[in-house]
Amino acid sequence: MNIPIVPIFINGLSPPLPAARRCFALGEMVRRAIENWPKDTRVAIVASGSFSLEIGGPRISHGKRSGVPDPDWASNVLTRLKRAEVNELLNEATSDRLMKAGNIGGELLNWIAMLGAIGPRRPRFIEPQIDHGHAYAVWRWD
Amino acid sequence: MTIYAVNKVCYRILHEPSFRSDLANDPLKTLSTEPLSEIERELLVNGEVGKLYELGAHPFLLSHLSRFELFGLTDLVYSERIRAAGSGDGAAQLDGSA
Repeated sequence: MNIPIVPIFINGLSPPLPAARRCFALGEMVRRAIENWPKDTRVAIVASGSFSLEIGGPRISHGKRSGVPDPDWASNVLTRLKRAEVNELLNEATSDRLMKAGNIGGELLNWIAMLGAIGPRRPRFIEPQIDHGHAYAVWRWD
Repeated sequence: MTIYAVNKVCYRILHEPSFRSDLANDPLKTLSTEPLSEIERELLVNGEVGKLYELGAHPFLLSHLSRFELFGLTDLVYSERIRAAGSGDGAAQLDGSA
């Protein structure tokens, strides 16, 4: 199998983080690039990141190397994704808010960029894993 | 004080198995050639991750120390020391959005 891959890296770890709307605009640009591609081809956009996670810092769980300091925020993000409430999420996802969700909380920006590419759609499937501070989700359209 | 050197040691622990092994066998000798300050060297050898965090070492990198159980650090000891340090917003403070 030989699949071309274009990696896009967004800094979600070391402040200053890029603004949520800037990441969303990046996703919109990716979508336009895909739609303008001259060949008729199937494209998958894959994003990865936590909503709330601390690795190695003071908010890890006792006896562990990581922790979920803000499960309420993770639940809120999940609800926003389920309802396709993108604008609300963009308003809420300030740099300060993301870092309150853990030193890896900025990884939500990867999801937000992906939402920019997807547009205002509800996911076909979403599996919450709030205990781990994240979820698995799939959007699909033709 | 160049906390960068501490971060670099932690980075190398993950990426260089021979360096990791040397540190496990003889931490003082191995760290003696690293460009660390005296206090950084002492804190590392004693596994004082909470104090290193407060000096600005990156927690992501520090966590490699307990991953490989160096300097007497198990996950339990690491978590107790790091949880006692700082107020919880990470070594790198927010600078606003880019």
